[in-house]
Amino acid sequence: MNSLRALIWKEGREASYKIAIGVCLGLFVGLIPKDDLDFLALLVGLFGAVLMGMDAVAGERSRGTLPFLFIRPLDRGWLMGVKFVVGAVGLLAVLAAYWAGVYHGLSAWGNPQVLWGFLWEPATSFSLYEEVILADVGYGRILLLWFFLFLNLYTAVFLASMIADRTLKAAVGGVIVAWVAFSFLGLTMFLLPEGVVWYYMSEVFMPGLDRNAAILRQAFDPMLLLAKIATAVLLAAGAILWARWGLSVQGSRWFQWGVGVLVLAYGVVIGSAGFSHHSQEPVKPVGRLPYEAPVVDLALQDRSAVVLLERGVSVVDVADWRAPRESSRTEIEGWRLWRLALSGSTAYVWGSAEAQDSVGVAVFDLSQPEHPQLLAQRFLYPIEAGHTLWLEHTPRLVGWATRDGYLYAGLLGNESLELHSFDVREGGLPQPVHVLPIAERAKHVWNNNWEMRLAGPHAFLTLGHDFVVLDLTDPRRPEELSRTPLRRFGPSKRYEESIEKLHRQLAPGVLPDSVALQLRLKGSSRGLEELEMRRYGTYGEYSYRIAVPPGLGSISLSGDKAYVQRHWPQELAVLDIGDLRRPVEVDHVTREYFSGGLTFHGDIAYSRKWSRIEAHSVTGYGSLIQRAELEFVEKKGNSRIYEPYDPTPYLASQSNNLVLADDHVCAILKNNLVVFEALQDDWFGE
Amino acid sequence: MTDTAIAIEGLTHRFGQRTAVDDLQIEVHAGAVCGFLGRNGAGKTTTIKILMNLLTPTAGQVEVLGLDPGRDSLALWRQVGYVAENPILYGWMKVRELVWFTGQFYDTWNQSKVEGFIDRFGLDPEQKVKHLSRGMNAQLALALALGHEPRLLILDEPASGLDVVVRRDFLESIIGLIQEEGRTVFLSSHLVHEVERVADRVAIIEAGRLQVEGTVDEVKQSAKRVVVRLAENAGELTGISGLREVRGEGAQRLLTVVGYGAEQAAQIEAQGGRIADVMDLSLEDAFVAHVHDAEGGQS
Repeated sequence: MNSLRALIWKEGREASYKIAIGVCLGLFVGLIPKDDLDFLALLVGLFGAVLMGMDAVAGERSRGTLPFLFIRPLDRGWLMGVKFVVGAVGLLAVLAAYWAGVYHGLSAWGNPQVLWGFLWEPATSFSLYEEVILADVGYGRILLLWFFLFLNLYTAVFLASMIADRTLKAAVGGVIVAWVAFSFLGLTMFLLPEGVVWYYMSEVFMPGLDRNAAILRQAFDPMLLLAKIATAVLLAAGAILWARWGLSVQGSRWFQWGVGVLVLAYGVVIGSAGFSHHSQEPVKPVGRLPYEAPVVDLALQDRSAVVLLERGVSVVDVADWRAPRESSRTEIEGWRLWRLALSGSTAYVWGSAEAQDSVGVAVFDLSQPEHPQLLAQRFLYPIEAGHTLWLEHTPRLVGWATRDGYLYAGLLGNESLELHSFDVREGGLPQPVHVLPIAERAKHVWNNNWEMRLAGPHAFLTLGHDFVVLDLTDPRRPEELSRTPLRRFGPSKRYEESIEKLHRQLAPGVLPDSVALQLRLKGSSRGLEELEMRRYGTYGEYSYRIAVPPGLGSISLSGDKAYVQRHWPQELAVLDIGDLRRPVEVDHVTREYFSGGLTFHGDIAYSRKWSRIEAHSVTGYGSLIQRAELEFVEKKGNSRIYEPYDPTPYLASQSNNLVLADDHVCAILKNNLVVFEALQDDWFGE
Repeated sequence: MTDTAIAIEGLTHRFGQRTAVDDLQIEVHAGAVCGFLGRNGAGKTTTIKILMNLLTPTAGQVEVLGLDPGRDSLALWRQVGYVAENPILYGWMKVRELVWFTGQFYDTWNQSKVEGFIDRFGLDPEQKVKHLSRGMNAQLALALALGHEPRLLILDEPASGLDVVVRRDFLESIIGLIQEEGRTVFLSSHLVHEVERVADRVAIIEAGRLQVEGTVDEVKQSAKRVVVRLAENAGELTGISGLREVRGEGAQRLLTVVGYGAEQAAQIEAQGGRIADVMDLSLEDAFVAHVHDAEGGQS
């Protein structure tokens, strides 16, 4: 044991300068107000891992002191073990200093400042998400996560240091080896579903301290944390064991060539895979029909497409998918239309009537596509004065669908969420038959994508963190079948309270339009304590959004699986709904940004992302992998018109404005009715 | 216990294409001081590193104190003291710290002995190792190598970097002391004088191959300088086995011959040469004769 004590003393003394420098730098970088927490945290981790690992062995080798140690009667496994542990402790110290700086910086003076030269300026991109995530995850847990994440890199650099004859080679080689190894050999690949593996591997590049909050999954999912720890521990044990037989005094002069070959092989594999992937040009539409007016919703009936415009209804003949032709257009005075539901040849349109200050329903007869008729209109509810941005009209419609002669409307009022059933068997105006109260006070459903889905005799909706199934078998007596609380990540109760408080502060009339908001977190490593709002009148350039409610969003259905959008972290929860009375969360699918639900066609799921459509293959266990893009590219002459922002999906969210019929995908993209051929099931290959 | 401290048989080591040690055979008896002579790059350090298990041989058998360095390295390191050529020590440590640090690895550490050596060498225990001169550094390394009372001391070019006075003290008195204690010393060098002064036995290696091995006298005897007078019509002397060097002009030649005997005398006389005198060589001359290009050269 004397020899171990002596080794620890020696390694500790040798590493103390590095640790001191790393801790000071980590603390400094942690403390300074910053715009990009994610990037800096990665940089600090990378710096710490490389600093501690690179000269562990290669340094002694190049200085020539290695033989002195190697001729001592001491097992080299122990020797390397002590070196490894001392370096790992150094890494932990650097990371601990960095995160201590970050947490202290937050609680001491809040964030919204950034050091720019000698000037302190308000930070504009350090977001609320980061603050809330940090509070949710907590200092200890985030340190643990970061430590084990970078312990992997440290181990790779340490291994490289055992082989290389120069410190610099060890640093560069170790990072490259880690990069390549973790692209291919995440331990989790053998233990966990594929979807999780992608998640795990991408965490180095996207740690998830942004609005996607992916880090919550890692922080609170024991399997992921365990996998990370297991990978790091196994690698470390492998490195130390390897020292017993593979460690040489000289090091390998071929190390850099080995790394070079590895990089080349990696490049070839990734390049060929990437080439085959990117060589897939976006799928182009086969037909389109442009609209000059904003299009808000879309439905298909036989060989007609009904396109809902803000001010009217357009009926399109799609008998020939390649040449959609507008048969007729009917305008309606004084209405702004929102949602469309078809029952036979009757169209029920939800909208607001400005003059009447009301929301209501307009009914069109489409039995003669060339001559649609406005059958009736009815104002249902008055619009309450002083609505906020998030409650654009009250009550808000969250579901609008017909089934077997009945029309169902999910209506979200200020105080309640209700399912309204209307009898439309006779055509004409919907006759109210029943109101089912679902929730007294619906929280956090101001997300535009929030949506009630109808499938067969059932309706599915999300409420806060609950997944709710309604039975519509008897339209006159719908009942609630089940209400299942889904998994929540982090202590978001406090967050909800803060959001509620903030919500009250955002009450009508409180804020002039020109005032930008700055939000500030007051709290400590123990958690979020207060969410503070600041106003900046002079920095009018940026806007501060708080559109991530910590609940569930839209629902997509496919067979006995339901894909429920979770906002915190941003992902799709996969539910087994074989037993509707007991839905079970079985998996999750990562999605960075998600604008609405999925529409399934065979083994392929379509979803909208910005102004294009993504196609995913659905694996056996319900995860979504791979993707193709269906894109409609507008050209002006020879140059492409880039229009990243497509307002359509925000106007109405039903099915993403995406309908599938007759092996064709019909969608509204950039105010065009666009038709693509549906991808075949074997599109992605086996 | 074995009488043989080091037994090397058929040892070969290659670095890629280059053969550093080629089918080497050496035996060192316990209690002997064996000088391992060879030019720079002859394969001395490679051989020693293999003895210390710092290198794995390409082929051949090595036994050190009856142990296989590859398999029993821990036991080996406990019983062997080793000073590398230009030993590099931890410069940031103080002399005292380095002694303490090294001592922690051994149960048999004799602190007072090491302190005695340090005192004798005039080293300041509080001085940082990096501030020691090259000679002091080598002395400190030797003191450390002796601290655990090794049965075998392996010194790789111990005299390089030492001034003459220190070299004498270092080699003669220290090694004498060690030998008195019954320990074996295996020291490599290219400085023949130094080895001659202390070694009982000498092994000469060239291009990785053993040239000669034996007591100092045996090695000296292994080559002779022969004065030859040539007959008037005789041509240059050729084809004499063991001929390493031919010097002289006119009718007189000075030959250096390895393994000189009746056979070589007959070869000389057959070519019209008359042997005027046969002289013994110094160890240095014998060394040069052995490591000289086998075909010899005329100057």
